[in-house]
Amino acid sequence: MHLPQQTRILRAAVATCGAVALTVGLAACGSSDSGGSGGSGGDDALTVSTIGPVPAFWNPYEPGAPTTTFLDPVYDTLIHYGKDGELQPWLATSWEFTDPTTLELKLRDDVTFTDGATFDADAVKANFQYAIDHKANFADQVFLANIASMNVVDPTTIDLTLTQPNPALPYDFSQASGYMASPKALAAPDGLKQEPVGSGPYVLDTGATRPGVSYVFTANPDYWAADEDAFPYDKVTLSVIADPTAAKNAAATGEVDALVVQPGTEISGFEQVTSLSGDQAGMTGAWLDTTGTTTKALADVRVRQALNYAIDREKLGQAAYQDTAIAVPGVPVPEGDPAYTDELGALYPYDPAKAKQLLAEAGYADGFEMTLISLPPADQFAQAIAGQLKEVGVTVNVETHAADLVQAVQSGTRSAGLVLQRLTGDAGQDLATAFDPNAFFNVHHGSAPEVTDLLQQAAQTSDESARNALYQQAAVAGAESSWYIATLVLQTITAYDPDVVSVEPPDRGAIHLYDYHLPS
Amino acid sequence: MTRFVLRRLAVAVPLLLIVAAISFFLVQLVPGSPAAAILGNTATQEQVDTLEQSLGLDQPVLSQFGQWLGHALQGNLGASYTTGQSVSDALAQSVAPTLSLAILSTLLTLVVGLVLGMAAAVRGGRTDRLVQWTGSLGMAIPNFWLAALLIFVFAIKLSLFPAIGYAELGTDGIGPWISHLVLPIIALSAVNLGQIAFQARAAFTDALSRDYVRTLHATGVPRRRVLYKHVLRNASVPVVQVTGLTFIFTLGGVVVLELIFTLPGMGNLMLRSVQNHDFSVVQGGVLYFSLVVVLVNLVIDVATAALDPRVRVR
Repeated sequence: MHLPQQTRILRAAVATCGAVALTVGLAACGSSDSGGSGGSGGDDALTVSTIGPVPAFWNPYEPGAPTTTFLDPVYDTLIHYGKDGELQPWLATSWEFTDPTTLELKLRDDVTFTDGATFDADAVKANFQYAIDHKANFADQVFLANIASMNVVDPTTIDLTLTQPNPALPYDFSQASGYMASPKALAAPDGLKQEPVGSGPYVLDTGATRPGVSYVFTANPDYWAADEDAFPYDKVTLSVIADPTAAKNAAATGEVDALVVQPGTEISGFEQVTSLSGDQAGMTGAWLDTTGTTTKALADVRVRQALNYAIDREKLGQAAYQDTAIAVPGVPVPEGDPAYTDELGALYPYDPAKAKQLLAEAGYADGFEMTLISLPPADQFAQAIAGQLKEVGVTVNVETHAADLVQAVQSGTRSAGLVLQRLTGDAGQDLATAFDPNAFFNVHHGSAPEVTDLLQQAAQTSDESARNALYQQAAVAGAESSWYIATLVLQTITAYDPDVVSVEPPDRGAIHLYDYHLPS
Repeated sequence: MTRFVLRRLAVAVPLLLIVAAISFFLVQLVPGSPAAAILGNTATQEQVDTLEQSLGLDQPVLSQFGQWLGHALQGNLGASYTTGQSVSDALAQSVAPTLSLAILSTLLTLVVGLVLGMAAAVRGGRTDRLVQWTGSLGMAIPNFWLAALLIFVFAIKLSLFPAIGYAELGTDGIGPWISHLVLPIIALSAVNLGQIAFQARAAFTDALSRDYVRTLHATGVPRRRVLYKHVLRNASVPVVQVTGLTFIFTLGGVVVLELIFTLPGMGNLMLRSVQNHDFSVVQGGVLYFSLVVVLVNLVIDVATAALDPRVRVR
């Protein structure tokens, strides 16, 4: 009698466990047709994983506007940036400097925004005026300040009068500065908080979108360039996955078709391409307080050059970035850039003896002490820099700041800090950004007059080869001024499922949605 | 009973207010401003100031709290700084995955834990050792490691379950919903299962040794009836209380699993919001969590009273 009762209890246990197992089994069966629900689902759907930042609103012309990742599907730019760096017509059919300070844009006449407003010269004017009035994005300010006046010649022609020559302006119109929003929406911009209103290839599916989690875009049925083979997907999903391992797992299970991966990541069946653009790509290194306000030694250019000689950039790249970084001599100019020369490439070989000699000449034979602001993800890099400089007698105190990074920099009490400058694909602009006297870290207003003079001359030179020659001189002058040390260009590695998508990044500059093609 | 419930809910109101105030002033101590986080590292001080002004962050802290409280009492928790979404919507969307995970995991651990604990106490010997060994193993395995292993085996190698994400019960149906939750639930339950099983085993062993059990056996009551009608009921009281605590700890502990499985739940939302200085969401989230804890405690008290008539609710 005793045994059967125990058996019953055991049976109950087995039955419960069985029920759980059955539920799990059923769920597994249910997943076979739903496993891809978060993913591609078919040839005409694309799911791209992103780490953000996610859009706080959809107005392309407010400070803190969404990144190009989120704006590309819904807004068209005036000009496209081609694979080889060549600018291609898009909303603007042609552009020409009728004189050094007048840029004439010819526009398409068959484009309508998703709210029914017409794209024309007045719409372009409304966009730029809005951007100027609202001080737009940080990156756009440089070129916006350049527009003195706008003249609508006819519905398909607009003349921009510039305060000073700027040959890079058409390039700007292929980037964040060139997104065109509906003038009707800009007139009542509150509507752009929740929903974008552009003329782009996709519209935001607000019903399927979960802010901060996933953003779903469906094909714009009235897209003016629907016949062109630029945006072949019916649905594009931007899936926000913060954890790199989770993103990799999602790719391995087919839930994500393309993603940015860390160096050394392998995903079975995925192909990889590298590009010089992306959220974590660009020139990294450390800026220096060239005025010497915080650390007197840094005011001496010989000391700054010594720091560059003391850094083994190849080794640094291997240690911190698994050999995927490209060493550059203190300027954001990698090999292949129009501003690159062999003379530039030969600057700052790893030479600790030369570093010590320069330090001694400057009166710092016994070295000196400085602080370096670092960020949590780049700590290994900062420590490696400190380690290499220690070898020539310079003591670097690494301070890590995360949430209070801006305050730490702006307090003007630190002598150096890590920087990541995105490469735009335009040599002049990259150099101008690197040596901008208003750069956020240049609290004590250091200047590199030789570099800025050369860049200004280049801006006034319409002949391309003459302009590039000036860029080359500016790059060498910039490198010799040693504003930055330990400079590497970080690349973005994009992995993609070749059955769903073929990613073809431009040789330089940012990857856009139109660089995602159907596999051939 | 109704009066008891109402009184407990009334007591919860000042508690929620205190929690809201503490969390509001605590987040002010976090260095950095939401405006700077939104604008990025390269923003100028002028841009940061302008944005702070438009977000109302330039006001004195007390006045900010007053405004927040005023709106909160009207059911308006404000809007997220980073996504523009209303905080109530963001929380409503995030609560479902987290509660689904926590409730299903708790139910699973409660049922399986009770059965295992009961089997260990009743059968003893090899069964007991097996249950203790399994429970210890579950508690010893870190859940993030188990999660990674489960993803590798069941999602990547066997393609049985999705590796990441969540499906809505309402729109996607029960199949996709549960299939997205199976692996996180198993990873989350492993630790708790041991705790519940051990608690159940101790409670059953204790109840089985009581005089009334011997008396019931002596009077000829069938063993099955003794077990299910008398022992189970008495042994359930401590198990239910531990389960309630486990549920609350589970809510706090889902952050890591939500990150690994990219579940769009409260843990992920709170983590992202803290990182982005999205204080309005953090504030709303803390309120939600507090409310859930109050409700769970209330449910435990009511359940305990229902199971044990000696516990009187007044």
